[in-house]
Amino acid sequence: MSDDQPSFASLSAADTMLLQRLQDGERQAIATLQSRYREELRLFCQRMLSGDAAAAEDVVQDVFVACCKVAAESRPTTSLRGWLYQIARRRCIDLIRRRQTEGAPRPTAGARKAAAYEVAVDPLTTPAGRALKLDRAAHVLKLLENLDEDLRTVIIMRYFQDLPREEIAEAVGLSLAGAKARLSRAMQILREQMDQLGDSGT
Amino acid sequence: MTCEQIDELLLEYVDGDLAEDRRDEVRLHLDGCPPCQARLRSTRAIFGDLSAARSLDNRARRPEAQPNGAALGPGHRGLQTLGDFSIVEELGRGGMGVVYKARQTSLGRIVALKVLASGALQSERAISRFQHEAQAAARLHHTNIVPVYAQGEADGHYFYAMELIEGAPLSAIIRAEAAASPTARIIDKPHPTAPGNANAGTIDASAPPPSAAPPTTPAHTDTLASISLARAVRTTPRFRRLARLFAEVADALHHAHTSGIVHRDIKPQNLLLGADDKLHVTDFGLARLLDEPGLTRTHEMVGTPSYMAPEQIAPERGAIDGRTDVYALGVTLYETLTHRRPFEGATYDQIIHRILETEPTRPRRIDRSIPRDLETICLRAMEKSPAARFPTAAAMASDLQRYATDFPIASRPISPFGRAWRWVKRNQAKTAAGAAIALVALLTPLLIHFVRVRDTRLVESAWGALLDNYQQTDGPKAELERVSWLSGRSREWTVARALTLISQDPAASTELLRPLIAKSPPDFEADYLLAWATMRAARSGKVELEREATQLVADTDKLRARGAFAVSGAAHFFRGQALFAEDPEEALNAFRDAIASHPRSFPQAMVHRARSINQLLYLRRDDRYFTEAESTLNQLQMLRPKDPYVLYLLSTTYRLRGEILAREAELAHARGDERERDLRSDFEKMHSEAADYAARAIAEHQSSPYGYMAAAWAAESRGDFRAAADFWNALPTAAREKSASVQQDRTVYLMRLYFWLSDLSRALEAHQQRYAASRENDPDARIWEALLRKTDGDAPSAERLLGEAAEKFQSPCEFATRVAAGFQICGLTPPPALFTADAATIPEWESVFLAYCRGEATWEALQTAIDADKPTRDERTRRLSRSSFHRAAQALSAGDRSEAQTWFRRSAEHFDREGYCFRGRMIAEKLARDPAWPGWNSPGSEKSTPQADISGASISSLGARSID
Repeated sequence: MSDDQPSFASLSAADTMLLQRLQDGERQAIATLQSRYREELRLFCQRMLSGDAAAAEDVVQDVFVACCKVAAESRPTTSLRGWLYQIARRRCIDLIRRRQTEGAPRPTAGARKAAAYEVAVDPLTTPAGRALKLDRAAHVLKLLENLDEDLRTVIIMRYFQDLPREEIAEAVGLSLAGAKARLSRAMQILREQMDQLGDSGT
Repeated sequence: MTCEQIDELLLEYVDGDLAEDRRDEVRLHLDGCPPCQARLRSTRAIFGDLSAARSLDNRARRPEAQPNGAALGPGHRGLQTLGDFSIVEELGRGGMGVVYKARQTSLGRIVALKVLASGALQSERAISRFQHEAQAAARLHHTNIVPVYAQGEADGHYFYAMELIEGAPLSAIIRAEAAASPTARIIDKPHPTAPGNANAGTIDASAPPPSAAPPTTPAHTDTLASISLARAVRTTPRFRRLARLFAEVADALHHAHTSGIVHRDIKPQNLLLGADDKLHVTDFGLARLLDEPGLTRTHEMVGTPSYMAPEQIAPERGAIDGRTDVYALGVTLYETLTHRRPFEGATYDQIIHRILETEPTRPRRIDRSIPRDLETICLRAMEKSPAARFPTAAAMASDLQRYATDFPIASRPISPFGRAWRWVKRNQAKTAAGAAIALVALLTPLLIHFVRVRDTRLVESAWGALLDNYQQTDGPKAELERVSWLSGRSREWTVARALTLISQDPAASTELLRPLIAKSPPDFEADYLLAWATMRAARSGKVELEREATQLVADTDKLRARGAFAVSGAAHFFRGQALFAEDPEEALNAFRDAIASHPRSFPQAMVHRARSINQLLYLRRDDRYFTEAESTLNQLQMLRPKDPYVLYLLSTTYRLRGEILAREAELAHARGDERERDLRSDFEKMHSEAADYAARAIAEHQSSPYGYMAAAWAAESRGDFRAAADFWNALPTAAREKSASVQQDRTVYLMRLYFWLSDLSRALEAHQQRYAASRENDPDARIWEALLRKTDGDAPSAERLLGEAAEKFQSPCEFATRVAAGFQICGLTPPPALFTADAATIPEWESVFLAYCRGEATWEALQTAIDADKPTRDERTRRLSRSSFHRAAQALSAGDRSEAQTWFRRSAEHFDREGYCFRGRMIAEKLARDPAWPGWNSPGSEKSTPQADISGASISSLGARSID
């Protein structure tokens, strides 16, 4: 029961004020919001969109446009940050679905991503142990890529973006317990898949 | 715990997100369970993989911009990035390492990064200690504790990242002030300071050795002037602010202490004054490292011992605990007040000797303008024996807060006797017997003084308690009774006494106040309190008193506008209470004024501000009140975590918001708008919040009615009438008996719920309880009884009851027309006399209203008449609500169910204060739920299908009803 208690990580006074200013159409408020969250959201979207930087940039732009129409969208209940992620998540998933139905299985993005990893791994002339670790890391990224959207989202939010569980709940529109359960399941699957790698590898 | 339960918690366990007690449970289980250990290992492994994946991913995503490494000094030469952090510039350095401004690449945020000198941590134990401490510090969440974001190791450097606070360390401010103040007595050497801004060089475990540089004014003098603490302008408000700043720090320390963390190195360098006018405590956990054998200590790290408590120097003086921090905060306060350190010396040993053996010079001997109370607090915190200090940092916080807000502090200065005793203790050989005789001589004037002081304190204490919660009167009443006859019935005593009576006996309260007001100069507190008491007295049915109260407020407002008299927070608060029912908007302003003019935080006014916002949310159904209500209440939750009324208000806020959303969803549905689904899911969210808060209020405060009431309304709002009735019935007897208004609410809502549920015998039983006392004054008593009996099949009784009502309530006009509507709802023809009234006694619009009821005026004409004399918003609402109710009643008697339902709902949606909202909903909901009702209508009535049962969620009545 105690876990299901509302977390009381409620909207801070500062966030509330910012939101109010946003609603009043204050330019400065938008700027503040952007400076606080833009970079973080951009990274998040890029991660959600398999590394497609341009698309991520567009989505983030969209997110900020959307939040200026605060009244029109659902409103944050516990965390402004979680709410922004919620909008971003929805848009990313929309985009992914749209691409899938359009039949273009994002080949360019995938290629670009692979290239990026190679570049990243290459210059690391590391001892064998570290290389193995990087191997596993690259593998995790690959597995993540193939994970179901919902599960992938919560892992990215928690372990790449450092969102606390309460904010994840807000961002994916679940109760705290629900968010925990989803994260748990996602990790379980990832763990099993990684364990398989270990088995086959040795 | 079972393995399955452990498995569920494992993720959070590894994440460090579990509460301490949960952690222990998991740990205990893991110790004896190899399969779970294996799962733990595998979870840890995936964590490692994810973190590696994250940095790999970061490399791929990192923006091209490279940090500027020019500012980096020796030791970290060429250091541009460290793990996830890229260095922007150096902020300061000290014995243990360097502080940088850095950007956390993965999140794109700017942080203060403390990097320990490479090689500073040499043993495994020191390293694990560092990690452990930083983790523990990272778990501390408090406004005044600088949050630690991350800690770790990269390229052989140990670092931790925390929020970058824009501001200056207290040490720099003290120094600047000492330099600026013309009266400063800088006897001691200029204080060593850390560099001037953000999270400045606080990594050193203590200050760098005193520098030879004179206390030059730093570059940011402007900032400092504006945040000057005490010395520059020695006025009471400055000292109060200082006390508030330190109270917040003490509170933060207490928070850490309750989490098992002692700072151990509180000093001006570690307190950063931010742009938010708060002191932020930094470097939790670092001091502990200094005790580690594996730490390479440099000479610089040792620094000055000035802030060390005796028990830190000499372990036999006691264990290190929270009181060690209390001591150091006392020393810091001392230095802030006097601009000197209490124990100075040319050498380290001299300082240590003085800390252990000598009493500090009393601050007021250095500067007479320092308030006595602050001196007392400061010296108590600095007591050499931990047992003589404040027992906890919270106690110190509370005394500082009391000073900051003008309340008598709880600490007593050491009396002359006490001071003599200390001297005796320290100089036992020199004790002279004469000292004892001198002490006796001191006693007599002290005793005379004592009675007066005690009485003043009693009244002050009672007043303070009442301003904190006027409904808890037992303590204050007792205190007021203890006031000796010697002190007489002062004005303060009278006002406080009147306030204790306001809930139970407002009439007595007015009698106390009137003579006082008659003989005293303008006294806004008494005036507004009288208005409030009068308003409350009006509840006993004397409606004319309401007008009198409103007039009192208006007169006092005028008086206020004329003169330049200051109005206290308490006076504003009373004004708000007096206005609440008539003019919630103005009441809200009054509560805001109360909070602004009160010298300290005024939680009770905040509670009532929240209540009036809720009332507006209820009356206006305007979303903008929601945000304000929510943020106010969230603040309040922190201030008054134990107040069931706050939980009640929170539940109400979410419920009302839910009702607004449900209504919007309904409208969206009608438009075919696809946002309907979102709205509905938001409604669900709000509803579950409302239910949660109600459940919490019940669980935590079983004897209070608020939880049950909130739960009942939440259930009703949701359309679950059975559950709502259960909650009303569960209301503990004691709570019912304590307040008449609670009991009235309970019975009237039960009546309505059972009516909807077609449980007529229970409805009638509730009706009897509700109207037993007011049967002869309230037409509703007979109208509802007639309706219930008629629905039950007892037509003759209904007819008799309505006949009686028609006899009895021919005036005022509102009563008469209400009875007439009762006839129509019951399918009877009202006597025409009920629709006539002497035109001279009623306002213009009401004549048109009567004409409409008689069928002589059109609905449009009535609408025009309603707006003709430009009524206030609330008055207009009343008129609309009443008119809609009558239109609905007519439609029902004509057999047009759907028209009737529409207009009853309209009437309910106006949320008036006269009760048409309640009445309208009573009928509308019944029509919606029960297609067969009313059976007595003309059979020809069209068979309208009842609307989907969303009305339950969309309209409730008397939602934000005032319970005060």
